[in-house]
Amino acid sequence: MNNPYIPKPVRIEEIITETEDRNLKTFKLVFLNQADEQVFRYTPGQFAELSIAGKGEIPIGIASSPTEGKHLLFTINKVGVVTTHLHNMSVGDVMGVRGPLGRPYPIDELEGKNVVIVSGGFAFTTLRSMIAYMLENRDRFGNITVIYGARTPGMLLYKDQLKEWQDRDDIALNVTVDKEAEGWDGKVGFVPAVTREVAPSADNAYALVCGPPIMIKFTQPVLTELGFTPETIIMSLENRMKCGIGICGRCNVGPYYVCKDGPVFTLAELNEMPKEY
Amino acid sequence: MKQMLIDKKDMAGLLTELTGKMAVIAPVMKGGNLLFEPITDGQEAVLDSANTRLSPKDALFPQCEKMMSFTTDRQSEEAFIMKDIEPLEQGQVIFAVRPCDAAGLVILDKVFNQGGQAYEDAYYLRRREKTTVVGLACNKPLLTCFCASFDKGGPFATEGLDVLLTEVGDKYVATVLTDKGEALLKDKKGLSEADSASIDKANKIKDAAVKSVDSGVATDKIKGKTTMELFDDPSWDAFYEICIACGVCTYSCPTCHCFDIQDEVIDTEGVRMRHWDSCMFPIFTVHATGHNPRPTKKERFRQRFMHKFKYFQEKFDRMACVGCGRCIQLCPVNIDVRQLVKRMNS
Ligand SMILES: Cc1cc2nc3c(=O)[nH]c(=O)nc-3n(C[C@H](O)[C@H](O)[C@H](O)COP(=O)(O)OP(=O)(O)OC[C@H]3O[C@@H](n4cnc5c(N)ncnc54)[C@H](O)[C@@H]3O)c2cc1C
Ligand code: SF4
Ligand code: SF4
Ligand code: FES
Repeated sequence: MNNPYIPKPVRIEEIITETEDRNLKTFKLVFLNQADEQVFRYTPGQFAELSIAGKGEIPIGIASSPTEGKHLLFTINKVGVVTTHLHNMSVGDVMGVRGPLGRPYPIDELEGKNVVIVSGGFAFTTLRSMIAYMLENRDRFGNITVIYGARTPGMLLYKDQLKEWQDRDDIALNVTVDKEAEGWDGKVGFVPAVTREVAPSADNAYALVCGPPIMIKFTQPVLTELGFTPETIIMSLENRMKCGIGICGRCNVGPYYVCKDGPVFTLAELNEMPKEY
Repeated sequence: MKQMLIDKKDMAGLLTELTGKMAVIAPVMKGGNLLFEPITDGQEAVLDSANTRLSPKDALFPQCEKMMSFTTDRQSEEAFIMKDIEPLEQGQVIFAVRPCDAAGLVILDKVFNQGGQAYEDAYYLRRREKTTVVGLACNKPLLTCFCASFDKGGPFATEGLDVLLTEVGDKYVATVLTDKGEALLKDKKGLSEADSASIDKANKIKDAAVKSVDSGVATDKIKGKTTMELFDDPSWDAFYEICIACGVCTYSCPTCHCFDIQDEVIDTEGVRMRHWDSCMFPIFTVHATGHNPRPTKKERFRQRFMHKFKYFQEKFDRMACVGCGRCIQLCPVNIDVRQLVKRMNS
């Protein structure tokens, strides 16, 4: 019998320190066994359980896109026991990955539509996956508008990639920081304000939103003003998880398990659920 | 449906004989409590008492269970690679399970097998496959029993059972319900075909027992209410305050199934374990950021009842309560699930 709890062994191939406070690192992982790699078929928006023998398991959104090759990327904020241990690991170390888990972004529905991405802080990771995916399949999507904010320029993720995207004319990238900063000639201001200023059209469009609760709280009304309906605003939840497969009961919100029925939900769906996230 | 007779005096021998072939789990007295435990001698089994203190779910979903083993010894080629703990080859029989608890197993079956390989709980299902469940009908239900409030429930219900035993004087009438049950009793000493007088008697006992169960808890209207209507009901405030969040209700419940996963390591040898957990505990849902989606006892208390009677029904088309009454008996502050259900249904 298949056992969905067993993590598949992976090796750390590269570790990239993303932010100036060194609290965010991206881990590039490759499967030790080719068979495991072939089975791991994921779609942007999904997550995986990262496992460190002796320390535990944590759910982390997949930051890479399946179009980018055989490796997996995870960008991890150092907050507690497992993440701190991960931050102290080295290239060549072996750990485990279980997944892919959860309901991804509804790619089929998004095809042919304009896509607006709104994100703040390190929640940008799964949206990075989505952007990379859309750019690799550029003709299947309409206009792509990205609004992404961080506290300071040094706190932005994927800086090289952002530069690359900035130079393309088939994606409108709006990167913002909270306050004026030396050497920063980009936008200044919080994500909701910049969203109002950029004012992406809601015509034939979906908005994918992911960020800290406070950002989401103030962004929602702006998107509504712009004409986005609850059905076209798509969010991602981050409830505490253990099993990741809808059994352990931990991530339960109303009749849903965030790990299995989510983490991706439309605002329309969330409006019918208790606010237990 | 095949019905057999077993003399009470032969039962211990039959159980002892079974222990030679498989693990036999039956109610035994331990530290003043009646609990389901493995037995080696049929004499240990207590078959003439009311329901056990804890449910038999432990036999399929142990309170603490090894999932995987690993080594952190970097000299080893297998360092940091997780290895499945293979289940025991031997089968098991859970003996003298009350019908409510058997229905509890049917509910667990749904949770642990949600279809598709990715959602099959291998630990539970591997054990389930090798388990035979022998039920014992309730001739004298307790005041706290409300099994008959649920579809297919009642003191003589057979759902989830392979054999049902009915105590009739100095004999048991054994009703064989499945192939597993048939295989268990096949060629066992002391069994004979049930005569019509015994079957008649068993049916009379059944009718009396069914009448005596308090089935006064209506649950029919909950389905028609929306989640938010029930969730926002002000009466939660009146109910939750005296709860001391001890979690006894969840641990004793035959259908509660929340768990935690943790690693334990001694020197370089480790195991990944799972342990029962409870939605009544504050840290159950705390995010790493410190944010807690259910910050107070009120939300946690409400979650337990909403999950059992609303959310579970929406997902699996039945309620995650079987009316065993354990949480009513064991709650230190006398919270009665029946009152909450009445309120939810009103
Ligand atoms: C779908 C999803 C996607 C996510 N994506 C990302 C992402 O891309 N990047 C990112 O940085 N974060 C992400 N997170 C958040 C991430 O899961 C948490 O930051 C992570 O779990 C923190 O783990 P920790 O052990 O370092 O923190 P801790 O605060 O130490 O632990 C996290 C939780 O686990 C418990 N815990 C930890 N250790 C133990 C132990 N030994 N025994 C018992 N309990 C323990 C704690 O009680 C705590 O509530 C995501 C979460 C979800 C649900
Ligand atoms: S047994 Fe009673 S006091 Fe304890 S958590 Fe359950 S309802 Fe609360
Ligand atoms: S909620 Fe109470 S009465 Fe219902 S099955 Fe659980 S322990 Fe028994
Ligand atoms: S993490 Fe276990 S049910 Fe969602």
